[in-house]
This record gives sequence, C-alpha cells and structure tokens, in this order.
Amino acid sequence: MESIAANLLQGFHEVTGYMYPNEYELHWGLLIVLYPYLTGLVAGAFILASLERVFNVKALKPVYRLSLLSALAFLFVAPLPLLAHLGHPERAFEMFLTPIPNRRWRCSASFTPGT
Amino acid sequence: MNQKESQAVNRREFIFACKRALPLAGLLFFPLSATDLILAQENEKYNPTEHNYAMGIDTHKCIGCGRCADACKKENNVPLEPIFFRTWVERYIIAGNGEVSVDSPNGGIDGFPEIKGDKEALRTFFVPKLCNHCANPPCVQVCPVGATFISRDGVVLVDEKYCVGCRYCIQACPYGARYLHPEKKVADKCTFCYHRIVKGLLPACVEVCPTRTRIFGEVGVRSSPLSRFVRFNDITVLKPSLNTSPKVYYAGTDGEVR
Repeated sequence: MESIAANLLQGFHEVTGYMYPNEYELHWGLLIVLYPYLTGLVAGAFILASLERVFNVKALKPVYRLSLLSALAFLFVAPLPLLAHLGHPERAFEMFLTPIPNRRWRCSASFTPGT
Repeated sequence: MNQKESQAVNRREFIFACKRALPLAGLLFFPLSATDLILAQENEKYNPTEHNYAMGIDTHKCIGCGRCADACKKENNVPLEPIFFRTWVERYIIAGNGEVSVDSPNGGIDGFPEIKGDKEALRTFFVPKLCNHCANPPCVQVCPVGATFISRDGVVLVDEKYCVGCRYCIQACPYGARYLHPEKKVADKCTFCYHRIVKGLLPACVEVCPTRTRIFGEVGVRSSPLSRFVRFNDITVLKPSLNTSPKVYYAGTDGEVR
C-alpha cells in the first residue's frame, strides 16, 4: 500500500499547481474504459450480423455466425469490468433495488415554472 | 452440646438478620444505580432533530501546525498514506505579482517547508480543509444505493454496510473531501467525529487546535459558540457558486482559496 501511494505521488511529481490530497488517486481508470469498449464490440458484432439477416448483404454470409456468437459472448463479459471496479461487487445488485427518492424528477421539476 | 446448639441458633439468627437487612444492602448500591439511570436517560435524551451541526474556521488564527489533521487520522483510523485525509491544512503563498501557490505536504501533519526562492511573498496564510457537510450535497445526490446521506442532525455520513465502493461520490465532491478507504473498500469522509458529538464532546480536530481556529457548534442556536463566530466575522464559504450550501464557515479567507 505504501508503494502504491509512492508510485502515485511520483507520477505527479512533474505536475505543477495544487490538487487536493484525496484527488491524487485516479478513481475511474482502465476498468471503466474497458466497459464502453466491450459494449461497442457487442453492438458492432450484432450490427454486422443484422446486416446479413435483415438487410440481405450476401457478402457477409461467412461471418454471420461468428459475429452473432461473439456478440452474445461479449454481452456476458461486458459488465464484468464494472463489477470488478466496485469496492464491494457483492452489493452491486443493491443499485437496482434502491429507490432513488424523487431525485431526478425533482431536479427537472425545479426548472418548470410554478413549482 | 448446649454450647453448640446456642451457636447454631446464633447462626440462624444471623442469617435471618441478614435477610431482613437485604433491602438496606440494596440501598448501599442505590447511588451507583441511580447515576447509571441518569446517564442512560441522558443518552436517550439525545434527539438528533434538535441539532444542526456546523463548523467555523478562523483562518487568521491558523498557524499551520497540522495537529488537527494528525488528531483526525488517529481518532478515526484514517490510513497514514499522504493521499487519504478527512481533514488537511493548505498553505497559500501569494507573491507580489499576484501569483498564487498552494501546497499541503502530507496534509500539513509534518509542518510546512520553508518558503524557498527570492520571490517576495505578499501574503501567506493557512486554510484547514474538511468535508463541508453541505446542506445541498452533490455526493448524496449521486449515490446509487443511498449509502451516503444527511443525518437528522445535519451531518453528511456514509453507511459502510451499504456503500458499494463505486466512487461516484468521490468524483462528485467539489472539495476533494472523500477518499476510498483502501482496507474497507468503501467511501470515507469527515463525520464531524459523530461518535464524539452525540456524546456532547467536540470533534477531535477542534479539541486539539491550540489556537481555537476551529469553532464547532450549531446553526441557529444563540448559545452556540458558532453563533458568536458568525456574528462577529465576515463569513464566506468555499465555492459558493456551486450552490452546495456548505456548513463550514470560513472567516478571513481570500478569494484565492478554492
């Protein structure tokens, strides 16, 4: 842990100016970047497959199976980096169970006149 | 035989006497139990809705000794690495040409190095920083599981048992007051030493401050030391443009302070 802190601070040695001590650590790193990359892969492969089946692009016939299967395979892998990034992945499902009380629509309501 | 009999009677009499004296013995322990009772009642009497905690910081008085940051780390078991702080002290050096430089080596715990170079320093001052316990906190708005919340006594807290460690709140905080606890893997922040203030004690940083830079009290209570501080000083808050309504009030901070 001491070495992690040392590495982090060393990385910022050349940075001039001030930042809050708690913000030296980069919080949304590679794992978060990996997620849109994987979802992009899924979407791309699926579009490729749909070109053959829906739009009858005969040239893509040989890659139809491969693209559809890779879309399916990566679909299950895509959320894993997000889970791995969490401090407590075992509590991740709580996000779907937690009602966020009024917050989003209260924000929008505050902009509408008369409320 | 006769003697023995009388002895046995005596013993029985003694036991009966003890039995009769039992309520009296209870009286002997009564004072202790009474204080326990009063203490228990005092604990029950703590009503969070009656409080609205806040802090005042008089930057004129801060000498940058860093004892507050040190005490905070010890009181709250904050990791010792220099990138995890619940509170820290910043030094502002404003040069003659208006150039501002800020530093906070190890949060000010080990003191500050001498100002080097021949640049003329126009003003220098220290600014202790901590969670502002905003009345309109961005960190609470973004939490996807509702683990961070405003308590009824106006303190922004994190529930360690609910936090998923997604770090959204750390990104959202404009004051850099939060960090991810490396062992617990949950977001961690200043709690105004909640375990202390509910007992009527002061937060650790306020307790150790040798110059009374930090003033702890309640909003809107006339007898609170904070009211006096707010009455007799020009008060600013940090980043007021963000509309977070902070409850850490600064006196004597320059416009350069971010």
